[in-house]
Amino acid sequence: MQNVRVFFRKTGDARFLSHLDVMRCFTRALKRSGFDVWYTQGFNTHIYLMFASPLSLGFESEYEPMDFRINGDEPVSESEVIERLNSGLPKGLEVFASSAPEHEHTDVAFSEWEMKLYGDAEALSSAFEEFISKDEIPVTRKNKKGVERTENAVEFIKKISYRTSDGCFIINAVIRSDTSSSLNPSLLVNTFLSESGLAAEDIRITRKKLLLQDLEIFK
Amino acid sequence: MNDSVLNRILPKVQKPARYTGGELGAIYKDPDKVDIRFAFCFPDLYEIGMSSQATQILYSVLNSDESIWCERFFAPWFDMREQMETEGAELFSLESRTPLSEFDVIGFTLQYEMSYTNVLYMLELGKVKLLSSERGEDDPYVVGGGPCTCNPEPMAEFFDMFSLGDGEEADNEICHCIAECRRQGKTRRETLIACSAIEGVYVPSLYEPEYLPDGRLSGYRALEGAPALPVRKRVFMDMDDAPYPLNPIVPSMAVIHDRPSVEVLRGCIRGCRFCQAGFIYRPFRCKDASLICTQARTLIENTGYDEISLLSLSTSDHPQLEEIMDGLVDWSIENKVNLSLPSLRVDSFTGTLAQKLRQVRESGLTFAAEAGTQRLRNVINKNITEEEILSGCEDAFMNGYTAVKLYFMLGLPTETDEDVLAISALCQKIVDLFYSLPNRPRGKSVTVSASVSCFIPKPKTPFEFCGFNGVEELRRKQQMLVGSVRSRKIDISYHDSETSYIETVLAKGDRRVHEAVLAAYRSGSIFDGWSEGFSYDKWMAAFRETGIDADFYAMRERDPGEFEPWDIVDYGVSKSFLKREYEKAVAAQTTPNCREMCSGCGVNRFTGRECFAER
Repeated sequence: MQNVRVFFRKTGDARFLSHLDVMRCFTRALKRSGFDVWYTQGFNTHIYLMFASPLSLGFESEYEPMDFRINGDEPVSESEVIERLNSGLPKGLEVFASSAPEHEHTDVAFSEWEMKLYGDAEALSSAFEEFISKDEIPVTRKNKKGVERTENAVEFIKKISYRTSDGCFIINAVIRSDTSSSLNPSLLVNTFLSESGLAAEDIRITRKKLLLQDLEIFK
Repeated sequence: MNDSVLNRILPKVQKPARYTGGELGAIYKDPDKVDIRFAFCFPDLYEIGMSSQATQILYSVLNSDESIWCERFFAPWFDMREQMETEGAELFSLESRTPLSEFDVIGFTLQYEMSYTNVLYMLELGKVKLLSSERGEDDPYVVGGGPCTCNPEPMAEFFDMFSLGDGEEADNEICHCIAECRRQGKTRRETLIACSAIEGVYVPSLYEPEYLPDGRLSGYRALEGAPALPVRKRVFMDMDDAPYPLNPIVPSMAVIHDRPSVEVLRGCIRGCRFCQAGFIYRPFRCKDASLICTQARTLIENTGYDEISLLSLSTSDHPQLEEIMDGLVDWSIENKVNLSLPSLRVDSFTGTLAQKLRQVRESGLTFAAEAGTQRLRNVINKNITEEEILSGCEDAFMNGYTAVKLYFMLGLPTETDEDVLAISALCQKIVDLFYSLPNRPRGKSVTVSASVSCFIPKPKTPFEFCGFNGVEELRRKQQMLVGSVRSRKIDISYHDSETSYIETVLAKGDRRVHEAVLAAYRSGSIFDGWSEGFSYDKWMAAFRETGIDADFYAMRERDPGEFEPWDIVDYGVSKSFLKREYEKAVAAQTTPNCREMCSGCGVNRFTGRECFAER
């Protein structure tokens, strides 16, 4: 048995697929790939799949890892995995790399995000300059029980930069997203918009990379 | 639809994947390289429409033709409607996001009457004129198909034509006819007359209904150029030759029926007198066992699903059932594919096959008993006995099952209170049976759930002459039934009788009823099949406003000599057969199934041979 880690993009309309939908799409793609994939051994046996860090509905990604297992030790070619899986996936889900896993899922420490805000880019930019310069940016979220909790977003942000381009305001940020604590980038964007009183016609959030504690790329 | 508008809207609605398309198997063509752009419209949510095999079959058949591009439309849910109206957005196709009004042909599948207001809703959201008479030379042709077209009249004013019966051939022929008429520069009227010559096509505007002073129909007057009535439905006889989608669209989001299906047979030999499908899909036609098995395997290979369903009205009636099971059961176990076998009686198997079937069958056991007493089951010709139900339950309990589900109807013709109370008595017998078994599953309790719907007398069945039982009367029976239950192991659920009453009016209505459909839609009725959408008050107000007497359509016992709106379409079964069956029903006499004996339903006028003669 061997572990295979593929990386895929989730772009365009596919951003509206839920995490569960994506899992189902990959389960079917693996089933029809013809690879001798490993099934879980439980009462309700199913194809084993593992995702590192589920993506919220509406977010795009250029770097999503997914692990599965193939029975036997005969090496499988990267191009064959990519080709066979892609022929069974909907528009917008696209595998672009396949290899043996190098890191553990628990090694993921940060996500690199790009947040595009369509609107008055100059106004957004100057408001954001003020917003992000503070030492404390309180963001409030609810846990599953509905209890509100306020945290300081600054503590989650490792790096941040922003610019305007073609009438679009773009934020690039490296934000903590490990198993114990993470910050959803939409929380940062929404807090910014409500504090500044500005509006964006469309907000597009894309995960560019998953990073380790030392900011090396997760592989 | 403008992409930036859609990008703005979609993050604000529930399940946005309903509106994006892009699934595996979706078909994209160059619009400049086709003659006809066909809008396939399913007047309900995406997850309902994508669960229908009609969607998959017609999408594949139409798109297999290079000159046609068929794209899909579904009804946007309330939240999406609000967003679209705010943005002034038109209903758009999932594939190319083209507005509905730009299509050449708009095809609606009418699967159930309670989706009628959604037809108007989708047309209006697509900026297509609602009435056929309002549409001009450049407007799309609106075509209706599906089971409800066995009485097309309540919707006739909204449709330019109906495609009756099997759509595998007729729908493409309609497209070609329209394209050809356009090339020849024919007018809309000339085009409609040309289409009416296609076998199975009914063009309502070519006929005018005439009424008696008491409001009943007296007949129809055919206008110049119209084929004679009745219009005969289209039948695709050879199932082995029928085009079947082996690369279906695989929805990316979860839908209701989330598995591919192999259609194993069409039609039904049982003749249950309440069942419209059992009559309108005649004649009985089977697909060959080896083809069924090949198609099942191919579908799994092409889609990657881990479940497949055999589709039919009664899979047990396939003459090669053992061969089908032999070809599928071991394969499904080896390939970890769940075999979904609705409409299959497990008691038709014994020995190792029965054991294997238990391995692959989904849990749970269901009996469609339909009525509580043997007398009433004879009336409806439902050939299942109490003994069979009890022995089936015993078998299931001995194999570890502890839940049984039963289906019943209330309001059947000749039904008495005794018949109603017999439903809870039968449930109680099943509970008692469980506790009487020495080898019953230990430490577990039994649940018997009875789902009780309201009987709707439908056209083209022997009960088309009957009236609906009544909203209040059904409520009384429901209360009586629930009150008669003496065990907490029995769970009775029942359907809302108001919805069934409206459904009866829409099923049995004539052309005038369209005014009420329009008025109900205008007052806000959409998604009538959903509790979120249905409003009895709005419907009743619509009847009052338009002066339509709903009881006249729903409650009246009809004389078998009366001219009915659905007499203008010929679905094979003759009215004299239905009348004979009705008389036998009232006398509680059963009719053997078609394989045992031909009862002369009349469908072999279509085929020119006996249904069960040696092949």
